[in-house]
Amino acid sequence: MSTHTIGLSALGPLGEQLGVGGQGRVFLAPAITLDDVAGPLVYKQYKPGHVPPHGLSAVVSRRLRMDVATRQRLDRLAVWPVRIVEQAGAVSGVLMPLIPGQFFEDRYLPSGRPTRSLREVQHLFIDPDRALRLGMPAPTTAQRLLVCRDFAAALHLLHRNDLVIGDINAKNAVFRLDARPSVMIVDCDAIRIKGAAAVVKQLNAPDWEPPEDTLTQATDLYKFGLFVLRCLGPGAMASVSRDPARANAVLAPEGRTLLRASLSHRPADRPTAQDWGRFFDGLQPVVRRQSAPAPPPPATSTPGWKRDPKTKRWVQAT
Amino acid sequence: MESEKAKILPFYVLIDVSASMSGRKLDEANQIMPQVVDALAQAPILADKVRFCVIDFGSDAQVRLPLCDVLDEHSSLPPLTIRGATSYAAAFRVLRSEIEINVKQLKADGYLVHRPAVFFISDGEPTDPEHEWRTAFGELTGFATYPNFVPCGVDQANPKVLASLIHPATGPKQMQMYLMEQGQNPADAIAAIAEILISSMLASGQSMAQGSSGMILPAKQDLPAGISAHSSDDFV
Repeated sequence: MSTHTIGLSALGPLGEQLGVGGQGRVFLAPAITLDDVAGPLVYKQYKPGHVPPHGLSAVVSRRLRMDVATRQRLDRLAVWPVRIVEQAGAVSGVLMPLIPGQFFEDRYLPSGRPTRSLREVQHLFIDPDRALRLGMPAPTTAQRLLVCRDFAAALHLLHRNDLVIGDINAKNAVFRLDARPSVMIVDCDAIRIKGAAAVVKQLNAPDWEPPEDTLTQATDLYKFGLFVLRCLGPGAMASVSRDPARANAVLAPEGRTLLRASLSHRPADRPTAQDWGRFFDGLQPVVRRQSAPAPPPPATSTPGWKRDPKTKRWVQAT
Repeated sequence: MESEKAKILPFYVLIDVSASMSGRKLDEANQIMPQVVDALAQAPILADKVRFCVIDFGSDAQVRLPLCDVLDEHSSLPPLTIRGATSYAAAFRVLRSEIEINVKQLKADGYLVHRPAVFFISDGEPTDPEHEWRTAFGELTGFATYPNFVPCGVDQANPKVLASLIHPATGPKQMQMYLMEQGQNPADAIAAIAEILISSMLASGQSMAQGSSGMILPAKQDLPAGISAHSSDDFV
């Protein structure tokens, strides 16, 4: 067993089940801590037949080989699989960091039922007044530009490290607006290393299909273009829109050009994440005048959930 | 430039409000609309894909929630109330007329329209003459924009009658029927059917772009307890 793999027994007793999906179930793993992961961990147990056949160890190893600063940045922008979990010599699941509490919204559903929702980026695409009525935040244009800027930075870091996200969609990235508006990629199963096969078959979510069949960094850039378009032009039918003109009102001419090129059917036309990053960086002085500057988050801590020593319950770290 | 023409799935729920539905069954039926709205509030981009309509039927049939985007600020949810007998014929006629008007309207508004989806929930046998409701059903399923029809039965509903309403009954896009299992509480069964229809609505909305039939039903192993799925040849 190598350093990127641990036995199921090393996890100790599992905690509450947090979710269930097509691929498997996710549990809190409160008894285990790792030196290289700042916060609490969860165990994703694959359903029988859904264990990714190969490639998982490459994705886990890639993170462990990064220098500390890069790895900490990676951990802030993606819920990366940090260890492979094996039982009786076979892969049973992966260990991942718990999504920090700042990416959740406590709200009331229209029926009055209280709920805690992951702030999926789909909530950025709907009409802001509607988002407010549904108990979700309605970011300003300035905040939306900052979210896009952070997503571009995340994408740039992944691409620079030869990674392909593959499946960018309305649900697998989440956002926060406190401190510095930012995004986090929450489903990393489809991520692969350039030049290697994907961990799971890379699929396109409906309404996110790129023009070409094979998923590459170029299709990531196309999908990022769709994200920018839908985030900056929210409202009815934004979630299915591919018309760059939709974001004209909030994009400077340079941004319009970038967006049109991102959605080009010729992969070579599309700007890189770094091109986008530079554009959004250039907007920042203007944006700062429009909105109160927020202090950057402390670089050393990863606020999230912690166990209350008295009650033993999970509480949000402050 | 890409076309902005979007595809809409009209989703209809028909609910029996005959006298036998009174009590807890009606209470559960009244939970369906708020639950649909809550489900969409948690997947709000589906409002770009799905429109929802509620028709209730007793002695007559009435459109209680006209086909709409239920997350719209101006949509309001009416309570269902009991109204006498069980006229399947009235339900089918009102549904056919609504589908015709709604599809025409959506197309005029520039949408592509998916084949409508219908969940039909009843707790008893039709009280109108058989030839009458069969004729009305034939008219509903015999026109160009016929719906995918999913009958759901609880309590005293007749499985044979409901099985004959599955449409399409055969072929690659055949639909199913959901029945309360013997000995279950009918009100709980209505709650379970609500769960099935919501998961069908979410899955159908999410998958639409992939060229599916537009109507996805949950896999049998994912059904809530107390409900069984059947195809049209399960009852002869």
